[in-house]
Amino acid sequence: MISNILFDMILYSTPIILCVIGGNFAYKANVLNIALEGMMLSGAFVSMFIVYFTGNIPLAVAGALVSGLLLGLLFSFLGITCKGNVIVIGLGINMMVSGIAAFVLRLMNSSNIYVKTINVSIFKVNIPLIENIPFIGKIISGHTVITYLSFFLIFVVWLLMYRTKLGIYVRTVGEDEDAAKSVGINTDFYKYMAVLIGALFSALAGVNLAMENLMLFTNNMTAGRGFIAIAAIYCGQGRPVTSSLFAIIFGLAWALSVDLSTYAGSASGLFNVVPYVLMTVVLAVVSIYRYKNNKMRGYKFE
Amino acid sequence: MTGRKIPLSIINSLMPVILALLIGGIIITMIGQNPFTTYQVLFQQSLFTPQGLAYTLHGAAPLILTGLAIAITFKANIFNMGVEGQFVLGGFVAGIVALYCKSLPGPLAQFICLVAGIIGGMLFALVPALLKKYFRVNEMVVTLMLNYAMATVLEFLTTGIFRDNGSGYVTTPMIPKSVMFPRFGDTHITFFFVIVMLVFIIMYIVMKKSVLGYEMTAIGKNPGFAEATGMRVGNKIVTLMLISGALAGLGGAGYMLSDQYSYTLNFSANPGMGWDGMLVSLLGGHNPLGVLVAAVFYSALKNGSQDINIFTGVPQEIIAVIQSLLVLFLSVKFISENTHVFDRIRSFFRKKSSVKEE
Amino acid sequence: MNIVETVRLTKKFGDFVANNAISISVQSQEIRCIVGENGAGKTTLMNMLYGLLKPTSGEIFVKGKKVVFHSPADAISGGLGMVHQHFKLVPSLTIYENVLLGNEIVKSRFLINKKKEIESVRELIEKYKFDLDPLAKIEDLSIGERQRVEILKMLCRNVDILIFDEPTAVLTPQEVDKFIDSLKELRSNGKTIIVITHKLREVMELADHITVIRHGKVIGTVGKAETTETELAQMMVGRKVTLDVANHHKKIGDQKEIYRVNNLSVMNSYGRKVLRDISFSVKKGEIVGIAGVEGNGQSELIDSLTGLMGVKQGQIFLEDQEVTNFWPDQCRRNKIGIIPEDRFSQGLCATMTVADNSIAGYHRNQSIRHWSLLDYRKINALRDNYIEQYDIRVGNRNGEVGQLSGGNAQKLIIARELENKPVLLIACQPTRGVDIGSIEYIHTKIVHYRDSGNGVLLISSELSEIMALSDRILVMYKGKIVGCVNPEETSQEQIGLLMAGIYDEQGG
Repeated sequence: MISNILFDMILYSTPIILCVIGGNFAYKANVLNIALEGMMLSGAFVSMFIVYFTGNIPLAVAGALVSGLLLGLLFSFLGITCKGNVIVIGLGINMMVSGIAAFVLRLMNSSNIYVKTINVSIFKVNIPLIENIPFIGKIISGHTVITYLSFFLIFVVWLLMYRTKLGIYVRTVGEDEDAAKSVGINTDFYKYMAVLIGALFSALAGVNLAMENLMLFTNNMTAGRGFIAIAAIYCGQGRPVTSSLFAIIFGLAWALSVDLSTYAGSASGLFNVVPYVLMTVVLAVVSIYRYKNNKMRGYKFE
Repeated sequence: MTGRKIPLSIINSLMPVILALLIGGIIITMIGQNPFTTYQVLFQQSLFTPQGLAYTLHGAAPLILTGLAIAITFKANIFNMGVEGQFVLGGFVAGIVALYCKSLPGPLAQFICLVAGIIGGMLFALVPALLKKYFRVNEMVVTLMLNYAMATVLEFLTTGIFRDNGSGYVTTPMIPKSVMFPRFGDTHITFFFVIVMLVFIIMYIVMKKSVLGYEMTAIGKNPGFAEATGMRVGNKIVTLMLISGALAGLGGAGYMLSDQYSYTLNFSANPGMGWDGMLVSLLGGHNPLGVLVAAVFYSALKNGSQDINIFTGVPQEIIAVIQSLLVLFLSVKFISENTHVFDRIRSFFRKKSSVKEE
Repeated sequence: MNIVETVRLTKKFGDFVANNAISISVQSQEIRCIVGENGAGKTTLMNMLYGLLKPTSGEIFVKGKKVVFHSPADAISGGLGMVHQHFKLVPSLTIYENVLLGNEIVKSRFLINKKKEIESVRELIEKYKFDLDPLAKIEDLSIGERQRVEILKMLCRNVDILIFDEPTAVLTPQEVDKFIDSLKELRSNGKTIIVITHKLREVMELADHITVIRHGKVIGTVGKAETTETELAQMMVGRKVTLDVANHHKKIGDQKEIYRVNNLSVMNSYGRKVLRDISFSVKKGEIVGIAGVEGNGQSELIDSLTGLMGVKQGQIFLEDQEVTNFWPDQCRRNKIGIIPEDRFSQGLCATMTVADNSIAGYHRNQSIRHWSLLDYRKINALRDNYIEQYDIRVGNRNGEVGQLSGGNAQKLIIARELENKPVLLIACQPTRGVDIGSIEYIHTKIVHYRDSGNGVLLISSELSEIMALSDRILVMYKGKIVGCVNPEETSQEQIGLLMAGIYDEQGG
């Protein structure tokens, strides 16, 4: 039972972690990217669309990543080059992906994309030795490729953020754009990069969600995970490890809501609320803690 | 307002419409249909026949309210993304309350239902508003997540406690005819439209002439200035969010009583009246009069989409695509004194090509 | 040899000519001061030299070669570096990261070599005897230290020419002396230095040559030995000026106290005490000046007094009423006029109209409302009244406030606050970034207001302003009031010592 919940926690954390560590860069560069949701949905949709027609999995992953990058470029072009309102752009992209998916599904005369011929078990990795450890083996082993990749990427992103020029420049651009400009940093370039990293990772999250775990796409299957990732980024203030921890808390909430709802009988439908409400509460608690000494009246607006 | 600014803002709203329709046309061509006949069908019925126009106006009523709900917060740089959730909650509450008002006289029952819807919307909006005021929690993230929570709760209630077991699909029981707003003649327009117009006039005065409207504009333009000149930004955030929630809740309740008869899982459709409201508000430049015009335009688009579904081979889902394109283009100010998008785009490409030359 | 030369450099913003055919030549290894009033075009000129602005016409020569800088990075690689008035440092990064920003040392092409970076910055610090810890974060540094980091940033890029934009505006008199020594040290190390300033006292101490700019034109270049402070001032303003503002001090008899602050203490959001036990009072018909180097708690004091910050310890009284923790609207309703510290982020909203700005803070007054709605006929009449009565020069009355120059914008704030008849005026940096004409006007208004029996609390980092206007001066240092002096019996140097925290305990 407990090992089941913890296994699911890792399972449900994966897409959020990917969105969070990718979205951290945009957060640090002061370009709020709420299009993570749409980029993830696009990764899910494009990967399943390609698998459905070609059966070629590497091509599907590549296509999903490209679709994410294209959305990232669109976002950056409108938001950074044309200086549009990034919140509106983000919502616009979310609507566009879901709109296009609905449109294409309608043309395909179907309410979902499902590939029966490929079994999702081919993506599962059973780690030798570890899988035999009682309890822990059950939790850690048997996840998908992208899940293991995402946990590894937390470290990579930490390195990228604190130990490379890219990371320092992105943080500088976000904190003081003039300071960056005064030493000749091309601020727009680093903002683009920040958005694109997020787009790429979110698209990968979509692949994990749809293709790796279910071989199924239904519209709006991301169910607000992108927004929850943004909440986690806020809670962790853009720090890769901290905000990933918040993503895992969310994964736990989701696992609990799914696993416990089977025991809840008629009230089971209500358990789906838990992740969203929990994240709101966590966000509030983090904010209370952060501003506990603040005596300044007045508000900063994003 | 100087004389020069008005045409500018109109161009800023027209350009995205043209661009979005253009790209939509390309998509229509790509699936092998004729974009001109499609657009003709799209607007002819819904704008240029009395019956169709009446239906368009009827459909615009809730959009005007959600549009105003977005406008009043966006104008103050507060992002109430919960308009969608407030709308469906208002509709649901009104739909349930209506069931207990059977024996009351029609107008009283309707009044009670609308008030219930308004209270529902306001309660939803109160949560993020208080979190923002006291703990500085980002209201946008909270409302985005609460929308999902709200949808889940309402789905639970509709499929459980409040399900109409006599029906073949998931829905709450039908509202008795006596509680629904009666239609005017053989049009779809109901008394709800009159209420919306009254609310519109009130909101116009609030946004343009009142002290609150003045403070709202100041908060949106410069929150530091607003605080320093004693506008109590925290309190105003709560006030504006409550007004926004009330408008959205009223919209949902009115939509229920003028159109829907019962709450189904598809009550607000996809992408939802709240999101439509955001588009309407953007298209109208967060200006009450603009919202009115944009709501009618967008209602015509939605209304006409059913016609293209019937009369052409283009699926009506194309409208959601065009809508998102509209939002994307509206995010950018094409022409204004400060931001010359065209110049910037030109210099952007010039920069790129000069890099290549090197 | 002329290391930097401009030939008929011109910059136009629309119809406005900010720089008109400026020709200047700077010799190698000299300290050149460029002086002029606010708005004379000094900063525009430097921004063109530094590649931040593109000249409309004219040429720039560096080391004899014609150059066109497209960006600061170009300028730096051309050997020209700039230390801005507002430092371009990233507060959350360390000194070494800031110094090497854009110039990182990497290993294996990708990762940053932290060890080597720290080492190289430490070497640089030792070479110029700058006394800094490369691992300290910028947010923990004093203003003087930050300035040194900014200089290091340029030095590590091997620039030969250093431009300083108003470098002493934020330093104590003692820090200024130290700064002047560093400049001379840099010059003897072979650097050429250009300093933009409007403080003539320092110009006379550090410059080799002085170029005066007025209304975007070069008025003349003179050697230090051949000129005097008075002559320079005349060149700057274009008319005879008396450098010492007429002393307005007035004897205060046993007037009634109208404002009293008791034991005010405040912690900032990091839990650090930024105000310690502040107590003072203002009497009727008195101007109390608060002097101090910026960042010693004045901003927090202003915020607590004007309702922008909550107060946990201490009390504030206006006449006999307690006004502690009043919000800004309550302050104004209780007749406390506020001239905020930051004109365009607190006092005015640049993108709102002049009319909208002239009611801000008093927009709930019944006199401008009809029923409960705003009556723009009355508001516009009010605006016109302010414009005429306070000699505010506006291009377009119906336009936005952003079009106003610093002086006129400040006059609008003063009109708004004084015309609502407060009994106490809290004036923060009332003449910062304001032209000399408006400074005189604003000073007269403040003195006049005091003479009609009201109290003024004046907070300014401009010591000469404090000296000229105040009847009593309080000096702040590290969140404490360390001295209370009478301007007629005290010299600028003595106050300077207090500002630097050097005082004997009894005197405090």
